[in-house]
Amino acid sequence: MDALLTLAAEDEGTLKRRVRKERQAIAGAGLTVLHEQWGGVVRNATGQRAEHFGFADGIAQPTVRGAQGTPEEIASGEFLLGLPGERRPMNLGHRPASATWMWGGSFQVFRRLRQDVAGWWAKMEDLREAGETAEDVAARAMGRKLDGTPLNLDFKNDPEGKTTPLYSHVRKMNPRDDEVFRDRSHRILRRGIPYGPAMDRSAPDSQDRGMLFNAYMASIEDQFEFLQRRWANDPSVASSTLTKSGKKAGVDGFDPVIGDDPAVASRRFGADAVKKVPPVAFGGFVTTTGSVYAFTPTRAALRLLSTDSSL
Amino acid sequence: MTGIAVSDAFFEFAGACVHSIRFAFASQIDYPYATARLTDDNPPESLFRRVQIASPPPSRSGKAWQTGLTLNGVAFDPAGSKAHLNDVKFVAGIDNLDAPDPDTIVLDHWFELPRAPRTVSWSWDEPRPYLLSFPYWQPISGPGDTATRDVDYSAVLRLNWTKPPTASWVAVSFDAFWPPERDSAEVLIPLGACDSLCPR
Repeated sequence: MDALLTLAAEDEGTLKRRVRKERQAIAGAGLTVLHEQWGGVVRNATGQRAEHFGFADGIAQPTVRGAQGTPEEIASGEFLLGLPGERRPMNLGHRPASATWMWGGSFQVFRRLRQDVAGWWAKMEDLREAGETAEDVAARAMGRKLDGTPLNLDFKNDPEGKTTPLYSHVRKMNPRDDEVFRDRSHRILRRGIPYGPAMDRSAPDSQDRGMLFNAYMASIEDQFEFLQRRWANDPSVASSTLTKSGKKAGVDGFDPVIGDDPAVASRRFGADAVKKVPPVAFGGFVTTTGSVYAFTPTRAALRLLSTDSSL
Repeated sequence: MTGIAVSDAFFEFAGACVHSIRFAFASQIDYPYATARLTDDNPPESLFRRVQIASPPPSRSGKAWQTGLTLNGVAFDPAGSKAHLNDVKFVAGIDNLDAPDPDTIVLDHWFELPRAPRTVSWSWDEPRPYLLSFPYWQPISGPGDTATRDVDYSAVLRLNWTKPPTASWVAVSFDAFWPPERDSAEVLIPLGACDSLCPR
């Protein structure tokens, strides 16, 4: 595969016209389209842009230094090559130096994630306790409510995860304690969109639906793969990191959204390692059905690539 | 006396004046992100570390070194009172200090850290007459916390400046202010009066 092209528009008609035009250009250049995947906005009960489980989506983007000017900003070198990044501990190693033509570009991770929405909500129903709704259980798993409201704004006031569990998706992906987790050098910029029809929870079905996950970063290994492998799918994170740092730790587990299911987790880590993981802290409802690692060059680099010039 | 963690080492400040700086230094404290293991069966007799000190402290991404520091909700003023330096806060993601202008280096020195075991201590509440350049990891996390570590290498030092500081603050780096993304804090110290450890 040579290229991944992402097209987006405010309305379907515009998008279709542009896709047709790009297809013609691709054919004219003697290239072949290997796969075409359409996505579209899904809205939750409160009218917010959402993913198929029903959670408001795209609300926790890192802000980039020099772009928005907010205090939480992350160094631009975490997303664009050739610029300074965040502080790096020595044992994480140096990121490789990039060629000059890559400066200003980003590495891109695209994934087609199938979501088992019926299975997710069935589990949430199963796990609810007296006085709880399935949405309450789902909120603990995600770390925020369906409308995006966080369970806790400051994780430092909740070190053991009593309000926002340590295994919750938002906490696994961004522990917000840089002195301990070095989370500022593991952030990614996401721009995804759902695919497939929304599911009516009163009439569950197993249609193909999910998320077209698109993320940009300076290092796939340090950022996307680190999040997936080390934080989402390591049942001892965050407690092992907290303990090493001399901090108190609470209950751990897998990322309930993108982590392993109990069977896969047992195979990978052994039954002993997962037996203390609470049932809600297993995943298994999101399956990767396609994936591309790509590099997104700047426009200047694209122009350079289109010529016979030496890089 | 208690100290702070910097660069996988322990720094205990004793004093700094227009003539010299006095401190204790110890290693290693098992910084979780950069633990450097030494051989157990034949440990070195000494370790050697470099200390580089600049006055005035270098800029921070081209701005004044105190950029991003606040005290009681307002920008920290280095010329103000030094009575509440424990309460100075940092904005999230505060930049490192820049490499200093060579003309501002008042000390650039390698020192010996002999094998001299001791116990070093941290206390959240004990007043500290100095600042860190950013919130570096410490084995304590909040009011009332204390911690100790047993270390194998330590030294007590008095180092005279090789040229007089030109400002009332100095920045102490155990990494020669390098690289720009280094994961170790500098110590920012206001110069005080001479004391019994500085007889000049």
